[in-house]
Amino acid sequence: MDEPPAQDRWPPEWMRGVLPLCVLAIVDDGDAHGYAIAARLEQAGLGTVKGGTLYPILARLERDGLVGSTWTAGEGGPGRKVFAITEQGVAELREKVARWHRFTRLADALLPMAREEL
Amino acid sequence: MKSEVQRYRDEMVLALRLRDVSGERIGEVLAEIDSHTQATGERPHEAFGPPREYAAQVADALGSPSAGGWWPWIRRGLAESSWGERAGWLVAGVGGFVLGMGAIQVVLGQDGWLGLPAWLWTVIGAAMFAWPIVGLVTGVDRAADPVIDPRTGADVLGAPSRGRLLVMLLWPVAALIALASLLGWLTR
Repeated sequence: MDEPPAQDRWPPEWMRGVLPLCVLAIVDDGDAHGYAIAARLEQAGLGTVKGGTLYPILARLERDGLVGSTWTAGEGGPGRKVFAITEQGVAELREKVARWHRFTRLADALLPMAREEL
Repeated sequence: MKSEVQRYRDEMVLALRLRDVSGERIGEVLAEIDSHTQATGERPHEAFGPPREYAAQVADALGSPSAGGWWPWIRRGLAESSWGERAGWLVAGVGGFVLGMGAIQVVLGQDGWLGLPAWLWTVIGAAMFAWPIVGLVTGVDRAADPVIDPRTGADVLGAPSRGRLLVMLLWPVAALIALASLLGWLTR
Protein backbone atom coordinates (compact mmCIF):
# COMPACT_ATOMS: atom_id res chain seq x y z
CA MET A 1 0.00 0.00 0.00
CA ASP A 2 1.89 3.11 -1.22
CA GLU A 3 1.50 6.34 0.72
CA PRO A 4 -0.26 9.05 -1.32
CA PRO A 5 1.67 12.31 -1.77
CA ALA A 6 1.47 14.70 1.18
CA GLN A 7 -0.92 17.15 -0.47
CA ASP A 8 -3.46 14.37 -1.06
CA ARG A 9 -3.52 13.33 2.62
CA TRP A 10 -5.90 15.04 4.98
CA PRO A 11 -4.36 17.12 7.79
CA PRO A 12 -3.94 14.83 10.81
CA GLU A 13 -5.51 17.33 13.18
CA TRP A 14 -8.72 17.31 11.09
CA MET A 15 -8.70 13.52 11.07
CA ARG A 16 -8.16 13.40 14.85
CA GLY A 17 -11.21 15.60 15.27
CA VAL A 18 -13.61 13.72 13.04
CA LEU A 19 -12.49 10.08 13.10
CA PRO A 20 -14.13 8.92 16.36
CA LEU A 21 -17.49 10.22 15.14
CA CYS A 22 -17.06 8.68 11.69
CA VAL A 23 -16.06 5.35 13.21
CA LEU A 24 -19.14 5.43 15.44
CA ALA A 25 -21.34 6.22 12.44
CA ILE A 26 -19.88 3.31 10.46
CA VAL A 27 -20.48 0.89 13.33
CA ASP A 28 -24.02 2.26 13.69
CA ASP A 29 -24.60 1.40 10.04
CA GLY A 30 -23.79 -2.23 10.81
CA ASP A 31 -21.61 -4.37 13.05
CA ALA A 32 -18.08 -4.37 11.69
CA HIS A 33 -14.56 -5.51 12.41
CA GLY A 34 -11.54 -3.20 12.28
CA TYR A 35 -10.46 -4.02 8.76
CA ALA A 36 -13.95 -3.37 7.37
CA ILE A 37 -14.14 -0.04 9.23
CA ALA A 38 -10.81 1.04 7.77
CA ALA A 39 -11.99 0.01 4.30
CA ARG A 40 -15.20 2.05 4.67
CA LEU A 41 -13.20 5.12 5.73
CA GLU A 42 -10.95 4.73 2.70
CA GLN A 43 -13.92 4.25 0.33
CA ALA A 44 -15.46 7.40 1.79
CA GLY A 45 -12.37 9.33 0.70
CA LEU A 46 -10.84 9.86 4.14
CA GLY A 47 -7.64 8.10 3.21
CA THR A 48 -5.79 5.20 4.81
CA VAL A 49 -6.38 4.82 8.53
CA LYS A 50 -3.78 2.52 10.08
CA GLY A 51 -4.59 -0.11 12.71
CA GLY A 52 -2.45 1.85 15.17
CA THR A 53 -4.85 4.79 14.80
CA LEU A 54 -8.11 2.87 14.55
CA TYR A 55 -7.94 0.42 17.44
CA PRO A 56 -7.23 2.99 20.17
CA ILE A 57 -10.26 4.95 18.88
CA LEU A 58 -12.40 1.80 19.13
CA ALA A 59 -10.96 1.06 22.59
CA ARG A 60 -11.93 4.53 23.77
CA LEU A 61 -15.43 4.21 22.30
CA GLU A 62 -15.78 0.90 24.09
CA ARG A 63 -14.45 2.31 27.36
CA ASP A 64 -17.06 5.09 27.11
CA GLY A 65 -19.82 2.52 26.59
CA LEU A 66 -20.63 3.63 23.03
CA VAL A 67 -19.67 0.35 21.34
CA GLY A 68 -19.31 -3.24 22.44
CA SER A 69 -17.12 -5.96 20.98
CA THR A 70 -17.09 -9.73 20.59
CA TRP A 71 -14.60 -12.15 19.10
CA THR A 72 -16.29 -14.23 16.45
CA ALA A 73 -15.04 -17.52 15.09
CA GLY A 74 -13.33 -17.01 11.74
CA GLU A 75 -14.14 -18.96 8.61
CA GLY A 76 -11.01 -20.93 7.92
CA GLY A 77 -8.87 -18.42 9.80
CA PRO A 78 -8.42 -16.90 13.24
CA GLY A 79 -11.39 -15.12 14.83
CA ARG A 80 -12.15 -11.44 14.26
CA LYS A 81 -13.17 -8.78 16.76
CA VAL A 82 -16.55 -7.39 15.74
CA PHE A 83 -17.78 -4.04 17.06
CA ALA A 84 -21.44 -3.13 17.56
CA ILE A 85 -23.02 0.14 18.65
CA THR A 86 -24.81 0.32 21.99
CA GLU A 87 -27.99 2.24 22.88
CA GLN A 88 -25.83 4.85 24.54
CA GLY A 89 -23.74 4.99 21.38
CA VAL A 90 -26.82 5.61 19.23
CA ALA A 91 -27.89 8.50 21.45
CA GLU A 92 -24.38 9.96 21.50
CA LEU A 93 -24.11 9.66 17.72
CA ARG A 94 -27.42 11.43 17.17
CA GLU A 95 -26.44 14.31 19.45
CA LYS A 96 -22.90 14.66 18.13
CA VAL A 97 -23.95 14.54 14.47
CA ALA A 98 -26.47 17.35 15.02
CA ARG A 99 -23.77 19.44 16.69
CA TRP A 100 -21.27 18.57 13.98
CA HIS A 101 -23.58 19.86 11.24
CA ARG A 102 -24.11 23.09 13.17
CA PHE A 103 -20.38 23.41 13.76
CA THR A 104 -19.36 22.89 10.14
CA ARG A 105 -22.10 25.26 8.94
CA LEU A 106 -20.67 27.95 11.19
CA ALA A 107 -17.13 27.28 10.05
CA ASP A 108 -18.15 27.19 6.37
CA ALA A 109 -19.83 30.57 6.73
CA LEU A 110 -16.49 32.06 7.78
CA LEU A 111 -14.45 30.57 5.01
CA PRO A 112 -15.87 32.05 1.78
CA MET A 113 -15.41 35.46 3.36
CA ALA A 114 -11.72 34.73 3.88
CA ARG A 115 -11.40 33.58 0.27
CA GLU A 116 -12.96 36.78 -1.07
CA GLU A 117 -10.53 38.92 0.86
CA LEU A 118 -7.49 37.28 -0.80
CA MET B 1 15.27 -18.00 14.90
CA LYS B 2 12.96 -15.33 16.22
CA SER B 3 10.73 -13.97 13.52
CA GLU B 4 10.06 -10.26 13.19
CA VAL B 5 6.43 -10.80 14.18
CA GLN B 6 7.40 -12.71 17.34
CA ARG B 7 9.93 -10.04 18.30
CA TYR B 8 7.27 -7.34 17.78
CA ARG B 9 4.82 -9.27 19.97
CA ASP B 10 7.41 -9.69 22.75
CA GLU B 11 8.27 -5.99 22.68
CA MET B 12 4.57 -5.13 22.77
CA VAL B 13 3.96 -7.38 25.78
CA LEU B 14 6.87 -5.80 27.64
CA ALA B 15 5.81 -2.23 26.74
CA LEU B 16 2.25 -2.94 27.91
CA ARG B 17 3.39 -4.64 31.13
CA LEU B 18 5.53 -1.61 31.94
CA ARG B 19 2.36 0.48 31.64
CA ASP B 20 0.50 -1.83 34.03
CA VAL B 21 -1.97 -3.00 31.38
CA SER B 22 -3.71 -6.21 32.50
CA GLY B 23 -2.75 -9.55 31.01
CA GLU B 24 -6.27 -9.96 29.66
CA ARG B 25 -6.06 -6.64 27.81
CA ILE B 26 -2.60 -7.47 26.49
CA GLY B 27 -4.09 -10.63 25.01
CA GLU B 28 -6.79 -8.53 23.30
CA VAL B 29 -4.21 -6.15 21.85
CA LEU B 30 -2.06 -8.97 20.49
CA ALA B 31 -5.10 -10.65 18.95
CA GLU B 32 -6.23 -7.37 17.34
CA ILE B 33 -2.77 -6.82 15.86
CA ASP B 34 -2.65 -10.40 14.61
CA SER B 35 -6.13 -10.34 13.12
CA HIS B 36 -5.74 -6.91 11.49
CA THR B 37 -2.33 -7.54 9.95
CA GLN B 38 -3.55 -10.86 8.56
CA ALA B 39 -6.46 -9.07 6.90
CA THR B 40 -4.40 -6.20 5.44
CA GLY B 41 -1.23 -8.16 4.75
CA GLU B 42 0.87 -5.48 6.45
CA ARG B 43 3.75 -6.07 8.83
CA PRO B 44 2.84 -5.21 12.43
CA HIS B 45 5.31 -2.30 12.53
CA GLU B 46 3.72 -0.77 9.40
CA ALA B 47 0.19 -0.96 10.74
CA PHE B 48 0.70 -0.24 14.44
CA GLY B 49 4.01 1.60 14.69
CA PRO B 50 6.72 1.16 17.35
CA PRO B 51 5.51 -0.98 20.29
CA ARG B 52 6.35 1.66 22.91
CA GLU B 53 4.30 4.33 21.13
CA TYR B 54 1.34 2.05 20.48
CA ALA B 55 1.41 0.84 24.10
CA ALA B 56 1.19 4.50 25.18
CA GLN B 57 -1.89 4.97 22.99
CA VAL B 58 -3.51 1.81 24.33
CA ALA B 59 -2.87 2.81 27.94
CA ASP B 60 -4.25 6.27 27.17
CA ALA B 61 -7.40 4.86 25.55
CA LEU B 62 -8.02 2.63 28.56
CA GLY B 63 -7.94 5.63 30.91
CA SER B 64 -5.62 6.62 33.79
CA PRO B 65 -2.47 5.43 32.05
CA SER B 66 0.68 4.68 34.01
CA ALA B 67 3.88 6.30 32.74
CA GLY B 68 5.85 3.93 30.55
CA GLY B 69 9.49 2.95 30.69
CA TRP B 70 11.73 1.33 33.27
CA TRP B 71 12.20 4.03 35.86
CA PRO B 72 8.50 4.91 36.44
CA TRP B 73 7.73 1.17 36.59
CA ILE B 74 10.44 0.62 39.19
CA ARG B 75 9.22 3.67 41.16
CA ARG B 76 5.65 2.36 41.15
CA GLY B 77 6.88 -1.07 42.22
CA LEU B 78 8.81 0.44 45.12
CA ALA B 79 5.91 2.66 46.14
CA GLU B 80 3.47 -0.24 46.13
CA SER B 81 5.68 -2.77 47.85
CA SER B 82 5.74 -3.70 51.51
CA TRP B 83 8.66 -2.96 53.81
CA GLY B 84 9.60 -6.61 53.65
CA GLU B 85 9.77 -6.39 49.87
CA ARG B 86 11.83 -3.20 50.05
CA ALA B 87 14.24 -4.91 52.45
CA GLY B 88 14.46 -7.63 49.83
CA TRP B 89 15.49 -5.10 47.19
CA LEU B 90 18.15 -3.70 49.48
CA VAL B 91 19.50 -7.19 50.03
CA ALA B 92 19.46 -7.78 46.28
CA GLY B 93 21.32 -4.54 45.64
CA VAL B 94 24.03 -5.30 48.17
CA GLY B 95 24.13 -8.88 46.95
CA GLY B 96 24.61 -7.75 43.38
CA PHE B 97 27.49 -5.54 44.38
CA VAL B 98 29.13 -8.31 46.41
CA LEU B 99 28.59 -10.74 43.56
CA GLY B 100 30.22 -8.39 41.07
CA MET B 101 33.17 -7.62 43.33
CA GLY B 102 33.69 -11.29 44.19
CA ALA B 103 33.57 -12.31 40.54
CA ILE B 104 36.17 -9.71 39.54
CA GLN B 105 38.46 -10.83 42.36
CA VAL B 106 38.10 -14.46 41.30
CA VAL B 107 38.90 -13.58 37.69
CA LEU B 108 41.96 -11.55 38.73
CA GLY B 109 43.08 -14.24 41.18
CA GLN B 110 43.00 -11.87 44.13
CA ASP B 111 42.30 -12.71 47.75
CA GLY B 112 38.88 -12.15 49.19
CA TRP B 113 38.38 -9.95 52.19
CA LEU B 114 37.46 -10.35 55.85
CA GLY B 115 39.25 -13.71 55.78
CA LEU B 116 36.84 -15.30 53.33
CA PRO B 117 38.02 -16.34 49.86
CA ALA B 118 36.81 -14.47 46.77
CA TRP B 119 34.82 -17.39 45.43
CA LEU B 120 32.82 -17.62 48.64
CA TRP B 121 31.93 -13.95 48.39
CA THR B 122 30.76 -14.61 44.86
CA VAL B 123 28.47 -17.36 46.08
CA ILE B 124 27.14 -15.27 48.99
CA GLY B 125 26.54 -12.33 46.65
CA ALA B 126 24.73 -14.55 44.15
CA ALA B 127 22.44 -15.93 46.85
CA MET B 128 21.66 -12.46 48.24
CA PHE B 129 21.00 -11.21 44.74
CA ALA B 130 19.03 -14.09 43.31
CA TRP B 131 16.31 -14.51 45.87
CA PRO B 132 14.46 -11.14 45.54
CA ILE B 133 15.28 -10.91 41.83
CA VAL B 134 13.42 -14.15 41.21
CA GLY B 135 10.48 -12.50 42.93
CA LEU B 136 10.80 -9.46 40.64
CA VAL B 137 10.93 -11.53 37.48
CA THR B 138 8.01 -13.76 38.34
CA GLY B 139 6.16 -10.62 39.43
CA VAL B 140 6.51 -9.04 36.01
CA ASP B 141 5.82 -12.23 34.15
CA ARG B 142 2.81 -12.50 36.41
CA ALA B 143 1.59 -16.03 36.13
CA ALA B 144 -1.30 -14.69 38.20
CA ASP B 145 -2.18 -12.25 35.38
CA PRO B 146 -1.54 -14.29 32.25
CA VAL B 147 -1.80 -13.03 28.70
CA ILE B 148 -4.77 -14.91 27.24
CA ASP B 149 -5.68 -15.01 23.57
CA PRO B 150 -9.41 -14.10 23.55
CA ARG B 151 -9.94 -16.18 20.40
CA THR B 152 -8.69 -19.43 21.90
CA GLY B 153 -8.60 -18.89 25.67
CA ALA B 154 -5.02 -20.17 25.63
CA ASP B 155 -2.11 -18.62 27.48
CA VAL B 156 -0.16 -16.77 24.82
CA LEU B 157 3.29 -16.80 26.35
CA GLY B 158 4.78 -20.21 25.90
CA ALA B 159 8.11 -21.11 27.46
CA PRO B 160 10.27 -19.63 24.65
CA SER B 161 8.45 -16.29 24.93
CA ARG B 162 8.88 -16.35 28.70
CA GLY B 163 12.56 -16.97 28.22
CA ARG B 164 12.89 -14.03 25.86
CA LEU B 165 10.90 -11.82 28.22
CA LEU B 166 13.25 -12.80 31.06
CA VAL B 167 16.27 -11.81 28.99
CA MET B 168 14.67 -8.51 28.02
CA LEU B 169 13.97 -7.81 31.69
CA LEU B 170 17.28 -8.93 33.10
CA TRP B 171 19.81 -7.38 30.78
CA PRO B 172 19.39 -3.84 32.16
CA VAL B 173 19.69 -5.25 35.69
CA ALA B 174 22.81 -7.20 34.76
CA ALA B 175 24.29 -4.14 33.02
CA LEU B 176 23.66 -2.03 36.09
CA ILE B 177 25.35 -4.57 38.34
CA ALA B 178 28.31 -4.90 36.00
CA LEU B 179 28.68 -1.11 35.95
CA ALA B 180 28.39 -0.82 39.73
CA SER B 181 30.94 -3.60 40.22
CA LEU B 182 33.36 -1.98 37.82
CA LEU B 183 33.03 1.37 39.57
CA GLY B 184 33.44 -0.33 42.93
CA TRP B 185 36.59 -2.09 41.78
CA LEU B 186 38.06 1.03 40.16
CA THR B 187 37.56 3.09 43.29
CA ARG B 188 38.70 0.43 45.75
